[in-house]
Amino acid sequence: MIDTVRSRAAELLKSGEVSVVVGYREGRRRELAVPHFVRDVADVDALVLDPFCSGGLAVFATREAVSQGAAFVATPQDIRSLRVLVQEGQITSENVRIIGFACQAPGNPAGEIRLLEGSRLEDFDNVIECAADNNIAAEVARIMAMPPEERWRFWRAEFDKCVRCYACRAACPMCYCAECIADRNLPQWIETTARPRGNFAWNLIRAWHLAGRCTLCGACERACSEGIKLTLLNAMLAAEVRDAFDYVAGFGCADEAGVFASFKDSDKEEFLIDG
Amino acid sequence: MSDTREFVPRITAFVCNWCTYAGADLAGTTRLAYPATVRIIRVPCSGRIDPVFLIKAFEKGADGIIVSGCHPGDCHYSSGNYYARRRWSIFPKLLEFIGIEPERLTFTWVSASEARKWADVVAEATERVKSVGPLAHFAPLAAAAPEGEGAL
Repeated sequence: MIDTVRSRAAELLKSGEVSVVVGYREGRRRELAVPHFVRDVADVDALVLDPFCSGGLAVFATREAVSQGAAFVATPQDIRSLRVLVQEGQITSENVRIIGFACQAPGNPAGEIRLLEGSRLEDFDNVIECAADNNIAAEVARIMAMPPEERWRFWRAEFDKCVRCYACRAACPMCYCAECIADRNLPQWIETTARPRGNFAWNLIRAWHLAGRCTLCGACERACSEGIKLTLLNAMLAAEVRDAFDYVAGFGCADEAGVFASFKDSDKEEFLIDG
Repeated sequence: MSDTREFVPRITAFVCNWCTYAGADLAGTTRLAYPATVRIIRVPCSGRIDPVFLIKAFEKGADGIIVSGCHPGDCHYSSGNYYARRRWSIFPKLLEFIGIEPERLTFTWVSASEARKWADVVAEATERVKSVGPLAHFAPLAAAAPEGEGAL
């Protein structure tokens, strides 16, 4: 299977379709695969594909060095992330090629990997299924079932751990803003010190800015040195958006605006209070 | 000595310039009485109200928040309130998820002629906030030092 990945990478480079292939090579530990940028056909042999290829390479798509034609060794979530980036006008789909794979148990050495058919983003309309993560859904439900004070204590404990390194932001394919609201100081909406008040504001706004855009690739949580349960917030918002607007990030077509960049006259408004 | 004074909520209202602010103004000029719990912040359009405003208001001591703009179809900028409606149907769920009671948030449409409705909305929002009491969540956050700092 890795031979297929390498030969496809070599083909794409040779044909000039892309100038770089973004994939994985072996890390310093067995349980680690790290991003690898192949610009030369001779380097394709360093590419690996195993259950430790955790996804998230879509984060590089908006980097200038890569945006001019790149192939990504991509998970279904990565493919969806790339589609969101096209939808948001950050990249053009003509510049993107996909070497798709899906692992049925990421992170598990025995996890089975299969390659996905297709090369361009449009080829994946029907194969970007994401197995619903019932564990996360159950955890969201468990928290929602707590009384409000307990929910606050839960998130207080989580957000208190935050050291404000912004690794979550750096790892996120959707966090491409040249100037993040967290870095703005005139006015300063979000306190910058790693104290509870700013930590709440940061973590809430980070999650909010990903509502309807996050594809649940989990890169933020994997990047978090403190193990904050960021995916829980993302998954909760994704579920709300799905229920309210029948919208899942990365499934729409590229010429359709995102869920908060569009509206319908018929949008529900039961949440309104009518005096 | 225990404090037996009745809890008077502090409510921040983010209202659009064209409808709700005018409606609130009309409530004043027609001498409608409504609870003096609300501090109004006027913005160009309900679509201008960024959720970070709400977080800031809570940080600064608001017990509850009202967000109101023009009725659908009446937006001065034709569609700002439709975008706002999408946003406000989801953002409260995030606040609820982290433990802020939904009673603290009141979303509505008030037109420039609906002075009565504005008075009723403020009265209802006040009762809703009273039912959950003062927001005690954010004040301790400001005071709290990061873990371990006190030991240095």
